Amino acid sequence: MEWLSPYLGEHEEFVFDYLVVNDGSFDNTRKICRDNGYRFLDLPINTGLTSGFRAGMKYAYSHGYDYVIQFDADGQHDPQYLLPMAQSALAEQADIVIGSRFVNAKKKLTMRMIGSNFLAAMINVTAHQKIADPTSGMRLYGRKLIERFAKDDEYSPEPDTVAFAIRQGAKVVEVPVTMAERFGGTSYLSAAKSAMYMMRMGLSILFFQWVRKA
Amino acid sequence: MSLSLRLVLILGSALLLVYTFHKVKKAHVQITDTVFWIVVAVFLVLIAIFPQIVYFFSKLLQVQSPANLVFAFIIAILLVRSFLSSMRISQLSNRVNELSQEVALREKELRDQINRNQGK
Repeated sequence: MEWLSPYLGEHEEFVFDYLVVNDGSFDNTRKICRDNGYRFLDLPINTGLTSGFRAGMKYAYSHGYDYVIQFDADGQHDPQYLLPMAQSALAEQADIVIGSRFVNAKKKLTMRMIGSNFLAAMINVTAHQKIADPTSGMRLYGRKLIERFAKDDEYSPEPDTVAFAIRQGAKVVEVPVTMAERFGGTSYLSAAKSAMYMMRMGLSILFFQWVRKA
Repeated sequence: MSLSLRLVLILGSALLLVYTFHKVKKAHVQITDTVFWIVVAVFLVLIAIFPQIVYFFSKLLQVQSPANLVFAFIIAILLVRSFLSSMRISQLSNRVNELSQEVALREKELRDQINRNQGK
């Protein structure tokens, strides 16, 4: 939080706020947030990434925010990119801005990158746009998508929603960012789960796009 | 269908019925949810007592062994049932998620209100 705070408040044409979402976590998140008086949502049980994110989106929607940036609290995401992402959203009138690790940098050939390429290919086939970093968890969403997230439980902060949004006419742009190794917590995508994840995303992007309601 | 298969069907159905009633009595399951199991049990007893039903349909569908038709039918029913259950679980988990989001949003509002009042 100390790390994030210099980037909050007024910066150029934006005012940055934050909201911590504690998705029923049993570590000290709740206590830390309470003791420091942070602005946070406290879900009573663990409901998963999508649901936790949607809670935040409902808050943003009812409080009239124009943009929301999905920002991991495990140290992976670097707050210095918040402003460039917001500026890009405004300048390009974009609905989604992806903080992308691979706009300029080349991908290494690891299992994770093969998965990333696979999803990028799926998105390219179905939505006709090349996304360099579909699995980036650092994304900005505009007002239109904030509303969709607040109202539709099928909107998840995942690559399939990006593909779906493009097909619905959303403008998606990418801004180069760098990411660190996480300093706390473990990815919810363990090795065994990532195969399932890829299959779910692949199916969702390829087939369920057409039956999803807009 | 052999006599032993028919006896197993009757015995199994009887056990299923007893177990279902037992669970309803202990309120482990809602009565509406037991309708399916009772119908299945009654149906199995029926074909055990009147195997002619199975013979008729296995001839019609050109299944060599009537017992196979019974198995295939049970598997089909269970698949449908399992899909319906999976659908129900999805709906329930959506509702639980919505509820916890709602709880979190309201708790936040309450906390903000208390803080504002203390501030005055």
